[in-house]
Amino acid sequence: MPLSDQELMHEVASGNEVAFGELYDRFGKLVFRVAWQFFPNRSESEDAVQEVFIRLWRTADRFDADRAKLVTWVMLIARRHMIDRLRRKHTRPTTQDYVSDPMGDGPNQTEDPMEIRAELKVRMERLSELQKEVVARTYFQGFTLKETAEQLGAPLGTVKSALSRALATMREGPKPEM
Amino acid sequence: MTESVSHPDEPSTLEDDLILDALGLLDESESVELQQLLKQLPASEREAARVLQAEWAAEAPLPLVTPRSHLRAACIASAARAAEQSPEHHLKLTLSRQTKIHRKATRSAAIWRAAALAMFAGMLAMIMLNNQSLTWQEQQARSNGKQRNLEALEISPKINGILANRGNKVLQFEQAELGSGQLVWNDSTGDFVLLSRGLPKNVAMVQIRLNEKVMFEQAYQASGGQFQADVVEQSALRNTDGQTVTVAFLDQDGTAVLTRSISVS
Repeated sequence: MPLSDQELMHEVASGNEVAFGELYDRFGKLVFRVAWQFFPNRSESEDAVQEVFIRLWRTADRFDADRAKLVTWVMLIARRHMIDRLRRKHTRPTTQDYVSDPMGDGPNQTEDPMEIRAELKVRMERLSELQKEVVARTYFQGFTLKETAEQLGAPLGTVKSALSRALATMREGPKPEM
Repeated sequence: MTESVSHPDEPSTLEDDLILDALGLLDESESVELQQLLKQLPASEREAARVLQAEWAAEAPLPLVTPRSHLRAACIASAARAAEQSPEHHLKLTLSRQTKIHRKATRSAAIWRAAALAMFAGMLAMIMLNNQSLTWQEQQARSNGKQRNLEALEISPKINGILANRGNKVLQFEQAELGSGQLVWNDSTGDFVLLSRGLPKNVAMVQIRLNEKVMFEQAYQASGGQFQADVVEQSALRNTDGQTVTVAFLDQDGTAVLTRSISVS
């Protein structure tokens, strides 16, 4: 019987390597996808994933299953880490990094980076102009919602609702395997 | 800089906030506010919110990429390296042993506690400084007692930050019926943490001396039988190799209640 979220993180916090491996098995793909979203090249994404898993190990005993499911916790830690890393780099990816750069190295030798980017491009084409701007700035480039609201001269609530609905539209594409 | 993109004024809903929070898009303060709000909702609605967030986290619109198979081993190796380089390493071992012994005990080992326990692992090696007459079993028993006491102590992130430094030096002091404690300092930064327990009520001041020169002096109110922790970031204890470090607790008249010195090597 698989460990519950809380049991797994308990074991991870105790330094149990098997449990740590299971944590990777459950969420390695997800964290890699988050990393790729911010750092669309293989080596940097892989470095970032390793850092996230160290961070997950270090914070494992703060996980509270009553507050959130583990996947939500992992996503939160992963994304916050990527934003921290992005800010240290002082550069931010542009939307073009995801939709039209044919020179970047692929995440996997069996996958076509052009195909990945084209798929994202199709998803973004369904969005309104405001939604595209908000998604590009917050979701891909790591600007905060407040920063984005100021940049666009839009109320914070409007930016939030535009982003939430844009993500819902984008999510309607092919669902990733867990 | 403000750019012109037309936008209908459409306020966000609770569901919007839950989705953005699940994807790590809310500021931390907003996320905390949202958690506070959720606490006020009925259990069924909180559970629905948890499920919604988990669905969004699992099915976020992300690039459909797959990591290479070697990444799993690389992550495990990175974590193992980080553990070895961390002062928490010994502590993790300590925690593992405790977990086996107290399998059904309440689990709440926070990072600060790990750091504090790591410090005590280091202190086992230092015990010889002032407990030379004790047998190993007696020392172990005393140390275990201290660990349990430390588990009840809330150590702030700032103290934890100092304790987490590598290469800390430790001066342990203990005297029957007068209390006990530790001075932990970092030779590079000079910052130190003073932990004490059970000091007499007449203690009114603490001094830290380097070769008998007072480097730090402060009013000190002992908290009876409870552990207390004080952090000092004054760069007072730098480059102490070859010098004598003394911690002295004085009463109101300046008379020593408890002193302990160590020649740092």
